[in-house]
Amino acid sequence: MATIQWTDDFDTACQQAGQEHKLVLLDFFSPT
Amino acid sequence: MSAVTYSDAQVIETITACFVPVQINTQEAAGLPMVQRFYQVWTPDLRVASPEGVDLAHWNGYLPPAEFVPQLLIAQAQTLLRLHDEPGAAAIYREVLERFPTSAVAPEAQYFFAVSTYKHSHEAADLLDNWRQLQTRYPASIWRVKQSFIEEG
Repeated sequence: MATIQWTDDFDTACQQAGQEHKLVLLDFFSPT
Repeated sequence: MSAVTYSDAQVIETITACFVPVQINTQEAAGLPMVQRFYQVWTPDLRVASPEGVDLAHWNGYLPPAEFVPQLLIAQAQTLLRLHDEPGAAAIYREVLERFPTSAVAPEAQYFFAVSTYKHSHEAADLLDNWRQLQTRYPASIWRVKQSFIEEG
């Protein structure tokens, strides 16, 4: 099954979003 | 969130299709610069940002898949509206109303579907007729109250 391919590099994600005409989803989390 | 929401096929499909996903662990030192940059205080904390890195829509709190997907679509639409892509925003608000008419954010979708349609057409009827839908479809919603001045007189 497919999974979400998360990154922790926000600035690179922004560059990728611009190239792919997407937006950035930013999830701040704390592990439980 | 990981165990339920992020394992759901519809959630995965929606995120993968429209977003580059970033996760920041707020309990690790490596996450501190992002926590400070975005004035982050409480998790779960979800932001939708433009490719320029500007936070244009956000919400807090756990949501199960049936509410997460419409909330994510609302945040996507709000971002497009703020970026002046009114037709793109209207299409997503309409999608929320068609696919998730009983979700918690559906009244917000109805309100901003009217706004985004009007801001593209500049036809008053696009705003008022769609706002009036709130009176019948979502009469107890705060979003009905936010357009209630048109009901007076």
